[in-house]
Amino acid sequence: MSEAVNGRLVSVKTKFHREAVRPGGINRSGANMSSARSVEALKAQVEDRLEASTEPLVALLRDWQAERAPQGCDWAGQVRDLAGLAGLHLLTEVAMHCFDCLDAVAIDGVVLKPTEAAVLADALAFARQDMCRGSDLEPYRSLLQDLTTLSNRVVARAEQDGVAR
Amino acid sequence: MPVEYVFIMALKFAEDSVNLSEVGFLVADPSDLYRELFRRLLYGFGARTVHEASEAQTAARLLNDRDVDFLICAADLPRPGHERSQRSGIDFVRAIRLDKKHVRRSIPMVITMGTARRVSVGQARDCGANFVLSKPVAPVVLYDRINWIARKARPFWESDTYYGPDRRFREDDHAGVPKRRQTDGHAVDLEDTDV
Repeated sequence: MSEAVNGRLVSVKTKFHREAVRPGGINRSGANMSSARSVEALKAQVEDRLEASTEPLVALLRDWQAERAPQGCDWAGQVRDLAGLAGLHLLTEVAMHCFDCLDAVAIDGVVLKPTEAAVLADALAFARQDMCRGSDLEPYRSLLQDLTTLSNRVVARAEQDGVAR
Repeated sequence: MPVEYVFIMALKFAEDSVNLSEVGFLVADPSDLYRELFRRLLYGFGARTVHEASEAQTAARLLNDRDVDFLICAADLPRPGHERSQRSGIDFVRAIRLDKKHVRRSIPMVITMGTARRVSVGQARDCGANFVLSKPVAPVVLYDRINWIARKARPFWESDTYYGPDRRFREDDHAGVPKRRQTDGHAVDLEDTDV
């Protein structure tokens, strides 16, 4: 409430607002077509980079070393972002769970057991397959529910540790 | 074809289009691929100037030295000594917004986020960004957000702790904004993705 008293509304009109509405721009369908071409041109690069991030991440999780969690986080973040561009939506989902778990290890210092890391590695290897392309995740609902349970359990350790301290 | 019809269609085309040829963009993102993707998309949308920064220091320098009219900033943009921070990009945007002497403090700013566990969309929104977009960012969503900012400029709220679009104004049509996680029953509320 006090902020409402202490603040004020100001009208903002920047160069962007003036330029962007000038005639001669590109409409939505034109932008759609051009972005499809742009993403298509990146596809080969995306696949290569995806491989370069997924392989070491799977290797790390199979031979789990907690001190390398920050590096694993970076790989998981890359896989998450790249998989979406490659149309591998299951892999995006799995990478998000990996990221959440590794992030909790790297920042909160929680314990990720080797068996749990191996589960994440298996899920990544499965999701990386060509058969898992596309955005229909219904066939993988139970896998994703299990991963949600796992990542919630790992992340919850940070709160438990915090309470214990 | 009736002249009125041609006129209406031309008007509709103009309203549906966005002219980015004279707009300078800055993409601040630690991911090489995302910087490249945004650059390609923005060129595809008609932009001719896209600056890039992989960390906050370079982004700050480019904001001062170059003609930047629109900022796309990753929430986890690294800053020196804080490489693993999930919200340094958010702090970066907030610092620019709150700096009354900064020449770019009022330009449109969009935050892109890869994970919402540590940083809520609400926290990201409160830094003064115009929008928060979830990664992976769908190209058409990026276009729609740019177009929306261009056509529906909201007044800014200015106080000691906040400078940015007035959050009492909301967008009605959120179609096309992706959920962060398709399986997430508590996926980001679309209403909350807008500032």
